[in-house]
Amino acid sequence: MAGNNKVFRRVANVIMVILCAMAVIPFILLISSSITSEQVISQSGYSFIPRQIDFSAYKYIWLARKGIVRAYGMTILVTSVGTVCSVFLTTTLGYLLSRKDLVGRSFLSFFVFFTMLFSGGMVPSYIVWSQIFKVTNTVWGLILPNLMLSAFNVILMRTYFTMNVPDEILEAAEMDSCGQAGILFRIALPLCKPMLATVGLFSALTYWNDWINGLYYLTRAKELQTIQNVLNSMSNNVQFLKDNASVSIGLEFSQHIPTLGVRMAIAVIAVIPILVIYPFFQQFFVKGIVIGGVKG
Amino acid sequence: MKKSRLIATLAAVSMLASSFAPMAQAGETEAASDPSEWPVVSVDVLSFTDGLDRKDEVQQALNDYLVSINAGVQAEFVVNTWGDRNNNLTMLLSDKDNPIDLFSWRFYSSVDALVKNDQIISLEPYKETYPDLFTMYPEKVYKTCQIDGQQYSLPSADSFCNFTAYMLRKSVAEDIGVADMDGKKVSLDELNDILTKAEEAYPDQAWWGDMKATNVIGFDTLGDDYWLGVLQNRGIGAKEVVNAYKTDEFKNWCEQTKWYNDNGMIPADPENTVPTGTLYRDLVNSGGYLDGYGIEYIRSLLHGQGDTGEGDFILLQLNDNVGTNASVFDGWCISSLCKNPDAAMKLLYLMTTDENVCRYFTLGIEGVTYKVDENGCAWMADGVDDSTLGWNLSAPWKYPNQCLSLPYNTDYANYYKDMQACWTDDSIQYSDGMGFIFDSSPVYDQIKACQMIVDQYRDALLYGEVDVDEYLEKFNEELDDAGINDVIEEKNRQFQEFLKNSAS
Repeated sequence: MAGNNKVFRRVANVIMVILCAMAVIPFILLISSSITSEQVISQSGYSFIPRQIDFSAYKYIWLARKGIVRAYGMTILVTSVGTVCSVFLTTTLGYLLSRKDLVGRSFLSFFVFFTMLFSGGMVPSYIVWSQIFKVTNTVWGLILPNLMLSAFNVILMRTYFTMNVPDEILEAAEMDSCGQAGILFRIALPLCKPMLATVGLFSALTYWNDWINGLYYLTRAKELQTIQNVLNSMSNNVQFLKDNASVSIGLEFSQHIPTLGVRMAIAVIAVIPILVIYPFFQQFFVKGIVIGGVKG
Repeated sequence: MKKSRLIATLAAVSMLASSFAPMAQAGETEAASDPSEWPVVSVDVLSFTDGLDRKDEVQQALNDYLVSINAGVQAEFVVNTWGDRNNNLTMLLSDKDNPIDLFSWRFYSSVDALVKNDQIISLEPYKETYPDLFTMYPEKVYKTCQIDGQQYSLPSADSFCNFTAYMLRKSVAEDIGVADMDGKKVSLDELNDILTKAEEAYPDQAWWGDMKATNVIGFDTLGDDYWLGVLQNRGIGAKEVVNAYKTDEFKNWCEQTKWYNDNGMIPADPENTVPTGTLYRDLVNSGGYLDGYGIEYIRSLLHGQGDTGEGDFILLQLNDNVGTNASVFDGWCISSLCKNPDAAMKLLYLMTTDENVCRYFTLGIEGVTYKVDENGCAWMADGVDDSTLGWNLSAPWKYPNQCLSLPYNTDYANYYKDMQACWTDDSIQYSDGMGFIFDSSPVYDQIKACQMIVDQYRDALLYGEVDVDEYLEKFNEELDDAGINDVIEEKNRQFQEFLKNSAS
């Protein structure tokens, strides 16, 4: 039996090493390509070890630093505000749905669950946000659409409340004349830190990586674009050059664009902040998702 | 007595008013005395890289000028970077509250699609008010922007014809002894001999250009990027739409590019390599195809490119000047959501006929973004560079009448004069398909299916990465299964009808 465990562990380790390598290797290639000379990439293709180190791609992005710094600022603002609001709404709804004495609880739960299976679709959403809520070309266009909660997060939160906050504690608080808001914020929430971190990370990632809302709702106010929009726009411009080769000749600026390397550099810049933040959340994240994922 | 005086006064006022009435024609905007009450027309402005830092400054300068000429209309710039242009225009054209009013369809859509989607209005009502806008170019050019005989878009000024030249780095040409051929016409076989010598002398370099060189292949694609039904011989004397992928021309071209690839004449990963100036500057590329209406025009395009590595290029002309649907690169339209189409048309008129208005769009502000030399050519202003310029000077062709602008970044002072001369040059031939617009709705499903297959196969063939016989056969089999014959048949039927109507 012990022997079997040992073999199992070794096989599992090998599989995990392979899986990790599969995740890491493209990233190494990404970084390597972003600092490889455009000339070398054009002549010999991509390689893990740069044959000729060159930072032209980053220099090109540096030329647009004014826009990039502003876009980073917008991303931080949108991510901060959006995450706080999103966690608040998710928590309050999750708590509500966890209360067994809630009238219409099953219906409300189904209502939330239903949106996991079927969404309204892009066009109706766009019409609602642009025509009714008038968020076009405002910062709200970047925040509000993502505030329509992720049903998955709500269910995680509800499950966590159900599993980890004993009814007896809540009942005791009620007997001590504590209101529902007091029970939530003073008793239930302090017990839910791992889940708050998990939902917070999910929300933050959603806001950080979101470029769709900027694409749809910022048709004029480009100064409100987030970093993902700016980088996506750069990438689209490079792709456009490729698709319209004959146009690019004669364009003065096109000599400055390291087209292959710049795409890689863009990806590196976009992913670095998340790579830096993620380890700090990891311990909460794993715990939160394991406990919250158990059927409640 | 008093009553009769009153009647006389009213009659005089009435006569006075009626005498001024003819001054304002139908569709023309009468200027309110206060410019702040003038309608503001939002207009499409192209940026290549990111937002334009001087957008507000140039917009203000233009509006000050419009006030000075009592234009009765003001402009609001809406910047669209070319990578995001497609999406952004779709959004702007569906924004009922704040739509874009004036825009051009290049890099976005076609006149046909815009009309079908009800995104633009007909310009027919303005023919009487602005007759000169509709008689500037050859008649065939206007037809490319008409649907059912109605003018929906105003073509942007260009040569409306071009030929293809091969550019070869001059230092290479001198080494292999062909520098004296600069400006001469050569056949594709002669070009291949030159490239063979060039490759032997410089095996590390690529001689690569746009492999979708339809002019060299000899197609008039009838405006279809997927080439699902084309005219041969660039449409000259062509009476039938054919399947491009089953023609000898296409197969020969694929074999040609395969030969380039097999002999190391193109970069390592051509499908993902963008042939921008970087490749020429870094001496990765030393050759390529360029289209233009004249050798000197093409040479000035290359000069505009800036640093292209070691010295100049020689140019070898590969075919004749011909006008096809693809030679009408762009046209301007008024959005169907535009709240004041008369004002939009007025601005479009000024953009097309007033050189000051035109130059705000094409060059920005004199002394700030550009300066003019003694030959009448424009250059980047002193004290600014690419990163601080804040305006896009590299796309005069984006605006309705670039011929009112100044040649930029070139010494070729006749750049626009020679371009305009093409409009009245009787020696230039035009494709018989010019003005033909295909209504794809009867075979919509087949077209979508074929497009997916073209996306899957064509680039590999055009970049010479696969065995031509084997791959082309498979490609054609799949196209047949997807219904390309239905598409060709329908396109042919409509084309025959078009020819019949054109003849009558």
